[in-house]
Formats: sequence, structure tokens, C-alpha cells
Amino acid sequence: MFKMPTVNIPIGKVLVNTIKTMTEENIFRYGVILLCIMAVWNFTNFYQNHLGLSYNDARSHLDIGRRVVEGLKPGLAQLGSVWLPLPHILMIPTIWNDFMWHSGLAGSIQSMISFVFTGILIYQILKYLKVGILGRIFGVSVFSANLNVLYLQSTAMTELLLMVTMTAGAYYFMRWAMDQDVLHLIKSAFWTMLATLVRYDGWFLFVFTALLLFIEVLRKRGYKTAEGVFILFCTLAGLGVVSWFMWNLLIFKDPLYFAYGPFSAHSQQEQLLASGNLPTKGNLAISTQVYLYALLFNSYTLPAILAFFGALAFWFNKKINITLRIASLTLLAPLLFNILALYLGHSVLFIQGISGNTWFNVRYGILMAPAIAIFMAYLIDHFKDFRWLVIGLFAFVTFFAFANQDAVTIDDARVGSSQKNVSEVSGWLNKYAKDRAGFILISAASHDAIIFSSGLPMKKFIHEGTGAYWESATTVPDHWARWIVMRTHDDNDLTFKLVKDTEGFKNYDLVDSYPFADIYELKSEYFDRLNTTPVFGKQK
Amino acid sequence: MKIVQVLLGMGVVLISLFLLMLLIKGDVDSGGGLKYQNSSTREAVLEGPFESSGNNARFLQTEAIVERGSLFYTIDQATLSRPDIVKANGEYFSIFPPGVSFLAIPLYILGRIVGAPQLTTYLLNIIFALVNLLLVTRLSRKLGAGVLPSYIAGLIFLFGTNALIYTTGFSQHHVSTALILLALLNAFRDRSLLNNILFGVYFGSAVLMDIPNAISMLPLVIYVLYKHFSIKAGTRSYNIQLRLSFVGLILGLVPFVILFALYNFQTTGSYAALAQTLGRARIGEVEKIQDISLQTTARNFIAFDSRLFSRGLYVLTISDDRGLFFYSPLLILSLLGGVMAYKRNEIKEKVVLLIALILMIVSLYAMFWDPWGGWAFGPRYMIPVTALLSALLGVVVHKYYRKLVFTIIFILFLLPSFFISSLGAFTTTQVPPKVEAVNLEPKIPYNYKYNLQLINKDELGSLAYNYFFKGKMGGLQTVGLYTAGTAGFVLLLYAPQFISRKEEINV
Repeated sequence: MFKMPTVNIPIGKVLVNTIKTMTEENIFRYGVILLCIMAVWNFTNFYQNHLGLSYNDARSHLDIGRRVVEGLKPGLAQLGSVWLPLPHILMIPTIWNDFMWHSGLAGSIQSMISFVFTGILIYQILKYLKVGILGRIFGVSVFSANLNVLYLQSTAMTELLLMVTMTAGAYYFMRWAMDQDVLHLIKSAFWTMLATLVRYDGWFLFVFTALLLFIEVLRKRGYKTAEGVFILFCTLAGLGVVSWFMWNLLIFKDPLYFAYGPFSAHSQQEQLLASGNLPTKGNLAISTQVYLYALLFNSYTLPAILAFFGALAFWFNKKINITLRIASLTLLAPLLFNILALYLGHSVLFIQGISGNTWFNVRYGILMAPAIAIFMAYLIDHFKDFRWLVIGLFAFVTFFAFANQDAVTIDDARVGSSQKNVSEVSGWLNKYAKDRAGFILISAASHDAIIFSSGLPMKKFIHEGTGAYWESATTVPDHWARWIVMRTHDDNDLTFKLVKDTEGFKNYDLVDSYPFADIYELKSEYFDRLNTTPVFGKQK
Repeated sequence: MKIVQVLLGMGVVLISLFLLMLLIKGDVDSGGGLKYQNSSTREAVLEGPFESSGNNARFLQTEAIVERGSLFYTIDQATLSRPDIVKANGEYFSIFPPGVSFLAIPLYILGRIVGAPQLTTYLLNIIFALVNLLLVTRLSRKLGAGVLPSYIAGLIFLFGTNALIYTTGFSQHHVSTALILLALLNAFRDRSLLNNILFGVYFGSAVLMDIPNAISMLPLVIYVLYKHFSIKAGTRSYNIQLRLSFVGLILGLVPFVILFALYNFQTTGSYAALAQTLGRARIGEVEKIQDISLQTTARNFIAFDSRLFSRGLYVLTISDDRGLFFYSPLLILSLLGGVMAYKRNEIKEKVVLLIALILMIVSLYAMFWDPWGGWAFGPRYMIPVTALLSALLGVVVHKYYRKLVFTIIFILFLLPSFFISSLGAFTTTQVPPKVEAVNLEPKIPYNYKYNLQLINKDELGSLAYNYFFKGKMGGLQTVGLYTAGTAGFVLLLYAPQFISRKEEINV
């Protein structure tokens, strides 16, 4: 058979080595720049198509931050009791600006920064696991080429902030496992402490890490040292938890107000349980199934499966220090926490077609994204023969994810239980209340999305956090509120519950009715006794 | 030894041919002649050769080409082919790519001469099934299995998986599988000009059989392209060497690209527009039939969607309506074969390529909006995967078939796999997916239990049964005997090694 010739393309070794050195030296820098560009690009994209504020919770988070600096009763007490305070505290420097508030940027900016730093942490973890440059780049790509991550980093939600604090906690814990440097343990405790101030998932990380630490030190160095190291870690890592108890005691006179108060998740779950909509409670199999589905939908399934094999390869690799392998379990904290929370009935998660015919809180599945990225990268580094196969399959599935705009978190925000189309009510308020004197009485616990979407200043609203205004307006509404927004005949709406039997409520006309709320306006003949300006001054 | 091997091969092929002939679909008409051979006796009845629109659309296209020199259907042909038809410029034609229909033209002409065009045209899949038997055997050999275990692997593919029932119809599955296997075996070879031309031919013709083959075969294409590059370090420079034999890939591929483009131009009016992109048409209407699934999501929707991956993976692997391992539990042992083959350094690269091919096909169809393949028997899109897994099974058999425990396990998995495949092969592919079956009235099962129901009522689609045995032998008895025959055939090849307990019997 005729033998075909070969073409030789010579490339100077000097040139190749220069490119190689430049790449190795600068890959981290270029990666960070790329992550920053991705963060800004995606925020802009989701801002322009109005998806960035689709989650009700995103609007509520922004309102909480805003109430600290503006409203009838501004101050730190507005941080509230249910949601942990760090995301809202981080908003304070920017939320005073109307654009930053209404664009969502005051909340998104921390998510975007968290996105970039989580990418950096993944890279660093892989570097210390001695994963090669390709594996490190791949790991960061797995994390960042996920529309769910890119969407949530563009919103004022807390997922990315939680992700970065938890991953940083795990990273420094793993560093400690490698070199036993106490400074790394302190850093781990610090980041874990921050995670405990973002979401209750962080509390689990704190307990889980502390336990692993105690067991590991006990195993290697005995009880005395284990006790000392344990106390050292818990003192800093547990500071946030203790502070939160103290906060609740000081502000709400009950250290467990966040857990059992009227607006707590527990109280909401009790209602769901009563209506038979909490199938995960007491059922470990369903709890596991539901969370795993959330995880698979958020990760496009194949990466999660491959990461599982990567994790097995890591944990069963006897060449890796056992302490490090144990420490790496902290990366699984979101998985364990969410299954446990669902089982205990402290959390709710609906997967369309599995539990209920809607989405709700499916975004919880994204919290495993860093772990998936790290273990997938480890897989390609460990099984070099399968390197290009895994990269190719990931690229293949990701291509279809982007082609189909597959982001379950966007569906969760737009069509699941997490969304409310409040534009009709908020549009009405913007049209008729914006330029007219008078306050609007509304329950922020029920209608924060309406407050946000109305585009009106916070000081226009009398809500549960306005102290004397709220107490007065719910007693004699016709003296304080020109408009009342509430769900009529629903005692879960605090406004309705408190004003329905008052004399003053008879002086209102129902002016419009919408699926999520009704709007009442004071009859004009009672305007003469209506307060339209703040009169209580600075309240405690 | 060579002559013994040739005789063994011929024996396996001839016995398999005989066993496959027993499954050919058909019936006798009231006059005692063969039914379905002309348009007057042609009807879309369950268990008949025209039970599936997939068969019909392809066969009637062949008929249109031979009888009228046209790519388009008459109204009668279009009616029998619906809903797998497209309408453009006032003409109805097949929604499928034309490869299978083109390939069967000689068989149709032969059938016209002997007065049984349907019967001979449908032989295409039996021919390719036998080719696949040999290709799986060859692949298993390449992976390190001995001669007998390799033939066992080939027979398991043919008689122990749902590949069996698709020998009785006129679908693309066996032709596609053959081309994928040929391309894989070709990819193992040196990249000479001839090998590249052949690879181009396999790839081009595979796409002409079924469009998704273009994606399924991507790992092979990438691997073959990669093989043309090598880097050699000199003293002062690196030399990237590109072998110009890659031109062969283009030479092999181009005729098929031209053929497909011309076909598209004749049918859709555009060289690049595929029939599928026009959407299905109703008879007498120009409107496209909108698929329900397209309307249920607000997102951009293309046929393959990452959101569906977990569902599709479950359906295609372990579900009780289309699960690969549910229909062919024997293939579970293949996973062991993958590990064993991978451990052999000299074939590691080949094994990785084979695994890449399997994972690509599984991933592709796991994301498909209809992983069930409509009304079908078993996971029909997984037939190429069953071929690859069967080849790996040969490696396991080769290693363990002297062990008693393995032999017991092997037989325990073999019998249900062969029985289930036979249930389908004697009856129908028209088994609804679970999602549809639960809403049907009257209720029918969504897996091989439906085929068993038909067997128990002595309703078999086999021409041989209907011609010779109907009324004399029960359906279940027939299927039992057939299973005993096919499984016995495999065990016949298995037994000498097991009994002799030697390292390997040289044949």
C-alpha cells in the first residue's frame, strides 16, 4: 500500500518552554481575571433580562439590608431573627443607594465576589492535593461552567456566600490536616464562624468539623491534646452561633426565637406538615432521594456521578494521609446537613415530579458544586488514561446544558413556590401611592417582595419592624395608614390578623384585589385625622 | 488450526442464521400464500412486519424508489408510514435519513423477482445481525478473549439482548451497530490511507443510517484524528508530525456527504435541511405536529437536554420498562470485563476508547427527550452498547469459565436474558413506555410482561410458527424451546472448556 508522507512542523524548544513557563506562572492570574469577567458578564445578563430578582427571597434579603439604613425605624435591630445576619451586614455599605438596592447589586456583589473566591479556593485545594495544572483548571471549569452557579452568583441570594465561607473553612481544615499548623486551624475556625452567620448549614459544618477534629486528634495524640485543640477551634468557630443566641435574647427576649418564633422555618414547616406537604420528615429514604435529585439537577447529573467515583478514588487512596482524607469529608457537609434537615423536618425541598408538582428550594443542591468540582478534578488527575474521556463527556453535557439554558434554579425562582408575581400589586402602589402622602400598612413577613418591587422608599411602609408605628397602625389603622395591603381572610398575614376587628378598618374601601394581596384605601372623609409624616422620632 | 476456526465460524453463522430465520415475521393469507407481500394484504397489525411506522417508513421508501423511481410516498404509502412522515413542496417523504432504504434496494429487487419483496427486504437486518455477531466476536478477540469465549460473546449479543427482536424488523439498529463496530475496529488499526478511507466510509454511511450516529461516534472520530499527530523532541526543537493520510478520512466521507446533501435537496429543497427539522406532518395537512414535550417547558428546547439526564440514565439502565440490565441481566457481568480488560497494558488504550464509546452513547440518549424509543422492546437505542458490553463479557468468560461458581452464575443470568429476548422476538416491539402505559385503557404492561401475555394467548408473529406449528404447539412451549435452543447453543460452546479445565482449548 502506498505510504502517505508526513508533514513536520518544527517548534523551537525555547518558544515552547517560554509559553509553558508563562502559562504556569500566569494561569492563576488569568483564571481570576476570567472568573471576574464571568461574574460581571452574568450579572449584567441576568440584570438585563430581569431574572436576577426573580427569587422572592432575593428581594427580601435586599429589603432587610435596606431597612437597616432607611425606613421609619432604621437600625441594626432590623437584621431580624430568622435569617442569619452576615449577608445583610455586608449589604450595609452599598444598600443606601437606590440603584444598588433596586438592581439587587448590593446583594449580588457579595455573591459575585464569593463566586470568584470559591473558584480560587477550588484551585488552591487541588494544588495542595497535588493535582496537576490541567486538573486544577478543569476543577475550576466544572464549578464555573454551571448555569446554576452563574445564576445564583448574579443574585442577592446567600448560596455563594455560604459556599465560599464553607469551602474556605474546609480548605484550611484540609491544610491543617496536611501540616498540623495551628494557624490553619484558626483560619478554618474563622471561616467556619462566618459560615455560621450566613446560613444554618454553617452550624452543621461547625459541629461536623469540630467532631472530626476531636476524633482525629484523639486518635493520634490522646485526650488532653484533643480537648485543647477542640476548645481552640470551637472558641472561634462557635462565636457566631453564640452571638446569634445572644442577639435573639437581647432583641427578642428569647435565645431560641430564631428557631421557634412565629416567622421561623420551623413554624412554616409545621404548617406544611399539618397540610401533609412535608413527606421528607421522618423518612430518611425520601429525604435522601429528594436532596440527591436536587443535587443531580443542579449539577447536570453526569458530573455528580463522576465526582462520586473521584471521591471514592480519593478516599481509598492509601498514599494520601488519612487525616487529610478525613478532613476532606467536610466538603460533604452540605449533603449531610440537607438530608438531615429534611429528615428532621427543619427544611423543605420540592422536586417537580418527585415531591409535589412544583420546585421549591431546589437551589440547595448547588451547595455541593465545590465538592463535585474538586472530586472530578481529582478523578482526571488520578486516572490519567480516562482524563480526556471525562473532560470530553463533561464538555458534551455542559454544551447541552448551555444550549438548553438548563438552570433549575431559574425555574425554581420563576415558576416554583419560591416566586410570586407581585407586579400587579407593586405596580398599583407605584402608580397611586408614589406621589401621594400617607403610609402603607403591610406585613413584611408576608409581602416583602411587594415592598421591594413597588420601587417606593422604605419609609413609606409601616411593617412589623417599625415599632410604635406598627403598634399604632394595627390598633387604629385609619389614623396611620392611607393604604393597607394584605391577604384578606388569612390570619397568617399579620396585618389582617391584627386589623380585621378594629373599628378603623371599617373606614377603608377595597380598591383592588390580586392573587397575592388585596389593596385597601382610606375613605377620603377620614383624611383629616390621618398622620402622613413620621412623628415618633428616634425609637429604641 | 485456521481451517478449524473457519469451520467453527461458518458453523456458528449458519446455525445462527437458521435460528434467526425462525423469527422472521409473517403469516399466511386465506389462500395459503405469503401475507404482506403486496399492498392489498399489507396492514399495520400487531406482531406483523408493518406493526411499526419506523419499519414502514423505511420499507415504503425502498418500494417507492424501486417501483416508481421516486423518493416520495403515494398517499397510501404515506398513510401507512405516519406519523414518521414529513411534507414539503406538496410531497410526503420519510422523516428518517435514507441509508437503510438505499441499502435494501438490491434485496427488494430480488424479492420482486421471487414474489416476496417485503420478506427479502427485511432480511437486511438479519444479514447485519450476523455481521454483528462476527464483529462482536472479533472485538472480543481484540480485547483478549479466546476463540470460543469470543463466539459466546457474539451469540450473547445476538440471542441474549434486545438486539434479537430488531433482526425481525426494518429499522436502523443493526446496520448502525455494524458500522459503529467496524469503525471501532478500524480505529484500533494503523492510520494508513486505506484505513482512513474506510473509516470515512463507515462514519459517513452511519450518519446516513441514523443522524445521532454522528454524535455517538465522536470519540472514535476524535481518537482517529488524534492518531495523525505525534510530537518528537529534537535537540533544539519539537517536531509536530502530521500524517497526510488523514486525507483518506475526507475521501471516504465526502461521497456520503454529497449523497446526503443531494437527498436533502431532492426532498426538503435545501442541501442542508434535514427532514427531521421540518417536523412530522399529518396526512392532508401542511401543519407540523407539535410534540407535547416541546410545549411543556419555557426553556429553549432541543432534542437532547441535560435536565433529563438522570431520568434517561435510569430508564436506559435499570428501570423496569427499558432498563438494559433489566432486559439482559447477563450484561451486568460485562462491567467486570471492562475492569479486567483495562488492567492489560497492551490493550488499555483500546479499552478506554471502547468505554468512551459506551459512555457517549449512554450520555447522548440519557439526555434524549424520549429515551424509551417510543413503543419499543427494551432499550433499542442501546443496541450498540449491548454489542460492546457483550464483547467485554467474552473477556470475563475467557477468564472464568473453568470456575464452577462463575459457571453457575453465568447460567443463572444467561437463561432469563435469553428467555426475555425470545419473548420479544416472537411477538412485538410495540410495548408502551411506562409513562404511557399507566394511562392506557385497557391497561397493558409496559415491559416484556406484555410479550408474555401475547405468548400465553398463542399470538406469535413468527412466519415459521404460523406456517408450521400454529395449533400444534403452544406459544410458551415454542418460546421455551427456542430459548433452550439458543442458550443450549451457547452452552455447547461453553462446555468443552469447562469440562477440559485447560487454560484454553486451541481451535
